[in-house]
Amino acid sequence: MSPWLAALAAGVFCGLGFLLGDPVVRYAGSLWASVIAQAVGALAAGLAFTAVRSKGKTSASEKAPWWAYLAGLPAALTVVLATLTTNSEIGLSGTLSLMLLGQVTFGLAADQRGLFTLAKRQPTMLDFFGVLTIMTGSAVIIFFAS
Amino acid sequence: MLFMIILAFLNGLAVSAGRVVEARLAKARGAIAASSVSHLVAFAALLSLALLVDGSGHIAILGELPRSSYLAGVASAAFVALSSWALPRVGALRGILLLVAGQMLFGALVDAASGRIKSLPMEILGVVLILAGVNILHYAGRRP
Repeated sequence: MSPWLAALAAGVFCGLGFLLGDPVVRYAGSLWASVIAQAVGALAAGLAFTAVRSKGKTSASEKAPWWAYLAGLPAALTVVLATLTTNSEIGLSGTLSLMLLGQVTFGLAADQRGLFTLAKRQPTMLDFFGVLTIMTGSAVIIFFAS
Repeated sequence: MLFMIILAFLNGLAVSAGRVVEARLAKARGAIAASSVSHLVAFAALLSLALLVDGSGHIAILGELPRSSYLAGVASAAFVALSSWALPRVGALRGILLLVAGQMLFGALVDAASGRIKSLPMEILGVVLILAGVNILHYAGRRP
């Protein structure tokens, strides 16, 4: 599979998760909705992992640094912070666009510095152009269309 | 107001940091294992917080929810597995932007299908810009 398509498909699954989880958010609030989604997610991925391992298809077995196991903490923090800011004066549009800016800033820093042991990459002018185009398109949808 | 602006920006940093750390775990243990661990840790943290601030009152709703709502977690598991596999291969910045693009395009499609659009021309403009941006990033990635 092309990693490009995989990254795009991941974004689609993320959106699908929000769509499917929406009734739970309305019913129980975003905190409990996230608790349920994370529980089911852990179970689903755990079952998939067991199935793949029983077929002997796991290739990676390197030792991971201890902090890599804390990957879920930022995800948990995100739920709490997004609930706070969405319900404040900056609202959903403000929250989404500022989060987008934060995501791009971190992505840029991660590439340039090789943060968390990712490979160092120097973004090209073309990268910046692509980033700007996607951010503009997202801002148009967030502020004027949805 | 300024505090909330800073908080939302920091939240964006946290989102990307989570993706990159998941990608590091995936490199060592595989993408599906990384997805499972990430969800498990987030579940433990959020459950503790929910019980702390809200008590156990909402646990009773588990049986009353529509079955389809549980699929949100399955979608989330697929999302993390795919993103942590793809991110090191395309780079953090491009990977994160592709995630955003996929999410925005799906959202636009859902909004269009459910008639929740304020302005169709603006929606189309946004979608065209995002698709153009994805192609530019793809082209940038193929150049030596």
